[in-house]
Amino acid sequence: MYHYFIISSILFTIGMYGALTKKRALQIYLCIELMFNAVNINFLIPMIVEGQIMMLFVITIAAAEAAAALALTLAIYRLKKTTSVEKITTLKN
Amino acid sequence: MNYLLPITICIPLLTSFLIFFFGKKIGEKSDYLSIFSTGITLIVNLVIFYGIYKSQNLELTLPWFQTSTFEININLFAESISGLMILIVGSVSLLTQIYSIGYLSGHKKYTKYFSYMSFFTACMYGLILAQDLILFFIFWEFVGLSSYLLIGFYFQQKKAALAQKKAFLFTKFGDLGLLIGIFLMFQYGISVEALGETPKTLLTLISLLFLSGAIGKSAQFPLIMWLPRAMAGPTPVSALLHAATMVAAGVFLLIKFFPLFTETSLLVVLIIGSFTALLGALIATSQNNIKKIVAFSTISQLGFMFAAVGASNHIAAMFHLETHAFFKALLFLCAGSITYAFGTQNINKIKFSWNNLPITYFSLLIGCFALSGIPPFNGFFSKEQILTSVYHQNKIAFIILLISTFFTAFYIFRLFFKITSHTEIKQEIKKPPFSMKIAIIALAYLTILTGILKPKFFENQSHDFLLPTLTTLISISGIFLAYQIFEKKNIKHFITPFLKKIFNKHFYLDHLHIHGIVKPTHYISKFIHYIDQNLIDSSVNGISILTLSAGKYSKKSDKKIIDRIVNKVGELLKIFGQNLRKIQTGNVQTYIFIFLTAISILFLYIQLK
Repeated sequence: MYHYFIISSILFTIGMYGALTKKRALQIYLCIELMFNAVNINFLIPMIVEGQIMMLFVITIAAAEAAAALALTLAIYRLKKTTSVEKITTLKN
Repeated sequence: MNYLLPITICIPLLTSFLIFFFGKKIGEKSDYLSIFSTGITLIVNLVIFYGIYKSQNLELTLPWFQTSTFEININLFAESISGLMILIVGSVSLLTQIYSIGYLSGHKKYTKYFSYMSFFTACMYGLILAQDLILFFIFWEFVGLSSYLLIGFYFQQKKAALAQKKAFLFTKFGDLGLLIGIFLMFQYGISVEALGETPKTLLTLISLLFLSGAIGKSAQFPLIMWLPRAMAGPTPVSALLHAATMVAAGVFLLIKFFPLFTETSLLVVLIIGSFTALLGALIATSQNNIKKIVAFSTISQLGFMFAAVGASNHIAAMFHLETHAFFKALLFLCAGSITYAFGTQNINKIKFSWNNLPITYFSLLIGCFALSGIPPFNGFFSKEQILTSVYHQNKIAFIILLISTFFTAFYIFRLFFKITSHTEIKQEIKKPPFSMKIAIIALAYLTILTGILKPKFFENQSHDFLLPTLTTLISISGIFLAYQIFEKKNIKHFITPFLKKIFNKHFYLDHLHIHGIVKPTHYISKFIHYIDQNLIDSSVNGISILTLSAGKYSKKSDKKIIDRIVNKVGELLKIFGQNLRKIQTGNVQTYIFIFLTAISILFLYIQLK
């Protein structure tokens, strides 16, 4: 059981590192998916029905979120001709 | 079995909505739809009536809503009287609708008409079956609304538009009393089933308030004048309105809430009823419009029913309501087919005989006999019961009603002899279509049958032969007088021009309303307007001037003290904001980093705590 925690925390850290350092939007998105899965493993560890239901729930939401994120990425690419997060700083102005 | 009660209400209601919203798609077929649904409802009503007759009363209670102190249920109830009443409403509604196919065919609003008729019928069913006061009042108002719509069916004519407004306002005035009465019943927790030890004065007050609602709906004195005006609607509507639905609702209210009435209020009912019976009969003797004569006759007959309730024989009132429904509908439909044939409602311009309008001629004769109370037509049986019970209650009212009986026979046969001739007339006139004939024949049969075949509870208790003979003789003498004056022209008309003028002006009731209520209200409102402009407006203006000058002073102090404080605060915030701005790089990843750091610190804080 302990090992599962280690695996999930390693996955989560990798995901977090990627999300903070990668430049392309798609890469960041993949890292976020990694973090989701780390959380899903945590849900499964206690082996109870509620945890499994939560896991399915998270996966469903992640799928929905994937659609939104990809669509947004495409839209941004069409608008700016780039997906690099460093160059998209419109929040500042 | 109990679920038949809401079904009775819902079938015509749904039909009405269906025709109202999809009338364009259904088109001309909507008349068959409406008649079909009314027919089905009539069969349901027959089953209900049979069930009541065989076994027991039907009752259905469904929860509606509740508050902390009391709950309101939808409560439908049918006993013998309401069972009979829905049968009357159903059959008259069905026959008038069949009649309307011929009478109104080709009219622009043909489909709307059937929607309104179905709605009217449904509301009347609801009114009859509703046992709790709130539902009863809702349907009571719906009946008023649908008659408003139907009276103003030809609303392009100014006369009809005014008539519908008048009918609505007059009945609404009476409904106000009914509403206050219902409030009082809720306030003191009185119900009709369990009166208990309610104080007499309170009961009298409530019953008089209920009576005001009945007076408005049934067009009794002093709220008479809307009913003759309501003749602006199509004739089948008048037939339904006068026979079974709108005006019958008022009498039905009295019958339904009869236990509420104390001796005092019953005396009031008796006085109003007998007075209106005489008034209506007298006015009807000098009218020249065929529909107006029948309308005033309705007012007079409703007065008879009120008098029966006042003589605490509400069963007789119900019986007369039933018989009146059929012969009055018959008279109206005959009047409708005469109007259809001649294109006028003026009795001086109409002349027909048994050879060119045979069905109308004989049906009109049956209707006139029933209205005058000649045996064996149905009007005789019910009127005789009313007169008997009034005789035992109050002699003065009895004499007034006898005089009205005489004039009833007189005015209706004046109408009959004026518009018909006993010799053949060789003149081609427009024949009424098949559907109109069917309805008239059916009603003529019903008029004869309902007197002879009557339910058990209408059986006369007293076996006194003197009174019936007396009333019949009086009616016959009325007919004889009309025959001598208008057919033989032996006797000069005994009504002097002076009386005729009074009758023609409807006893100046309209003038009374205009000069007694409308004009004073105008003067009062003008006076209040004057007070408003000179007294209240000037004081308001004074206050505003004071406020303005006070505002000027406060403006000066404002600028010096408060503005400065606000400015200082603003500058401080500006400096703070400029420093804070440096954190905002616009880079998403920076934000995520800050966000994650903050969450980690939060978790650490919670863990350490």
